[in-house]
Amino acid sequence: MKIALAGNPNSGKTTLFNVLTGKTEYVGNWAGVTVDKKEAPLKGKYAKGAGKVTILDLPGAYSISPYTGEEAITRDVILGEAPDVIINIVDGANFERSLFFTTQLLEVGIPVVIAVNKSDILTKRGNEIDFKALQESFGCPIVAITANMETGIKALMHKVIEVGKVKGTQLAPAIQVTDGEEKDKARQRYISELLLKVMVKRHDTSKITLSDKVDRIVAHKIWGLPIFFFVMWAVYAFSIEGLGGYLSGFVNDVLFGEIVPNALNGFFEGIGVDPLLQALIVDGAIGGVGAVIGFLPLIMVLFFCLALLEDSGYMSRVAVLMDRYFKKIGLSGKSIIPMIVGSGCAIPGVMATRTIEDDNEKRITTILTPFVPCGAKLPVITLFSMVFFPESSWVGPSIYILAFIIIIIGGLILKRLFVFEPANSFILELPEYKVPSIKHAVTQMFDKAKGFIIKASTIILVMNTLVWFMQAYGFNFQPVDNQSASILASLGTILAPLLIPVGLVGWQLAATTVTGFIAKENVVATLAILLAAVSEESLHAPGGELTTMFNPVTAYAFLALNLFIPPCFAAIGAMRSEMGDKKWLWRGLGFQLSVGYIVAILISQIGTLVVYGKTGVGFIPAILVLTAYAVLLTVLFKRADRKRNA
Amino acid sequence: MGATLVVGLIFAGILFFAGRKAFSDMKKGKCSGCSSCSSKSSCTSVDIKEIKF
Repeated sequence: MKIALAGNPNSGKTTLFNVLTGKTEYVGNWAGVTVDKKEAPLKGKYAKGAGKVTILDLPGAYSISPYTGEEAITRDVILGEAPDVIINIVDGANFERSLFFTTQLLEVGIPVVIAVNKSDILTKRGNEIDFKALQESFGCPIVAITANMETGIKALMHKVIEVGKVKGTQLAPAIQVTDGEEKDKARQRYISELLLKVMVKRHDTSKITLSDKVDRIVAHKIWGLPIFFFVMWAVYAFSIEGLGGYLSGFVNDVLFGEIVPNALNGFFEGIGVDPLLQALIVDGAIGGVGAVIGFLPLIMVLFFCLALLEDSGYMSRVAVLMDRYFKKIGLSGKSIIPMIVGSGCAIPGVMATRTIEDDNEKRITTILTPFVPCGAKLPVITLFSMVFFPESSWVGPSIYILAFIIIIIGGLILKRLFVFEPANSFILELPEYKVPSIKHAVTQMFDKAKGFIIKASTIILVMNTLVWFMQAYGFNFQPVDNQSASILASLGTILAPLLIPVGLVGWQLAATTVTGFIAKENVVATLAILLAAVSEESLHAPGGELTTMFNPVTAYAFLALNLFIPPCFAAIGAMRSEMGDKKWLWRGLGFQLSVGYIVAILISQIGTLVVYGKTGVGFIPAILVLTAYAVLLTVLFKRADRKRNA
Repeated sequence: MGATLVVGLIFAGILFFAGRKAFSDMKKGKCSGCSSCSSKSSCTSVDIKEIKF
């Protein structure tokens, strides 16, 4: 038996899907989180006597006639795959509006069971619905549930399986279209008239609620943005300086700094393993992977805090807040959702651009989303914060502010180059504020931790082993006494001149940046391997070996370079898929590369002038690069203007 | 020599499986290239059909 979950965005389909299947798919307290269909078997306790039951979670849709990419997926599955039963999740917090899609689903002919979710909100607001009368009008069963509290689920599934076994045909509601009336208008009229009959009590929508009062502060046009930055600073300070930092310090310095390497070295020496193999395993594999895994506690604390914030409904207000700024650069607030999702990982962030209807807006958002620091970049940010700015809690949040500025300026440039029409208006449904679920936050936290560990034990392990081999061996495949004669040094030397305008000298930094293209955590892992060969000091120690390669200004510039140049390979693949056009992919990658490079040059050269009162390394090459970039932009702007005026 | 061989083989085995997993995930468009990714199945494989109004 195949059961599809369909309903409006943010009605709680994925929450119900997770409850029914035991999965931990990403749930967000805003519309547009699910942009792809998901499939999993129904948990045994709900499938009694039904045999094999598959649950399909579909992206949210307001109508069966698709307007956006993910709505098209929902339509295709419902009409093409013909599930045995459709569970239509109706949002109790937006009851009337949800019924528009319900009436369309009832016309498809597939048996429908309506699950009124968030029934607690419905009751709390003082609404009362005569479900029996509504059931008779729609000709299908209706069950009230609260998916996040798992109430009413057994009753719902009992009804669904009963309906599925009958294999009947759903009767369509009798919507009468008067002469000259559009079908959709008739549908809306039918719903309004029906609700007058079945809605026993209706809450007063004109009354100002506590939620409205909070919104007036957190989404305020002046105070909203500082409040947002303060919240992010508090989350970062707690994660990096507080509990997360403390736990990461222990894992980095004690566990992977002393206990594991000492134990392994002792063991290998005891059984007589060749010193080169010992170094490969301890310094290369364990050292590199350990340098990344060391940040796991910090990342878990951070994502726990972010999940609480998101679940509370605050992040949706951030989207509304940003809409004001985004409109000015030709984007709508809809573009902020992919960027917020992208703060976890750029890939689902890029995928979330699917909810944007306008092609140009979608492409620009796809290019800008990877500028938001994702989870993979956190170890890099934290490492540089710990070593160069141990007393400052502003470095982490400052990267977010910098990302915001880059997105605004980048958006303006892209709009000037590629967009010739005004942006669409943006309507976002604000979910109710709620006490965030600790269970949800813990699930999200362990989910991210699992992804982090899987990545560290696969691609990062392989890359680190390769990097260790390349820094320990020459092209003749013989071990080298000096790293500068290694394969990695030879390859890094080719690219090293490109970093001179950024004030950075050394093949190590070029090699590190290249490995970061594979996965951003490799920046930390590669530095750990390279420095382990020359120093026994911990990579994370404030003022440690890393300070021989950078001063605080160039360290911040190097951080910006690695954070704002194109993301990892997997995210580039997602960009290609969403843009659907190689030409746009190359434009996007070229733009990201140039932005990361130029921002790093500006930070390094201006920062050196301001902080140290002298010109930095590579000042003249930097001026040349900046001039060439300004000329290139001017030429491209003129070309775009000619096209616009043609 | 024996210990080096045994440890080397075990490490090579771990590396082989790690590499195979990373490669197959990348090939299938899964998110192994990006940690803390919330997408469980695949990053890039969905074909969006042309929308007709």
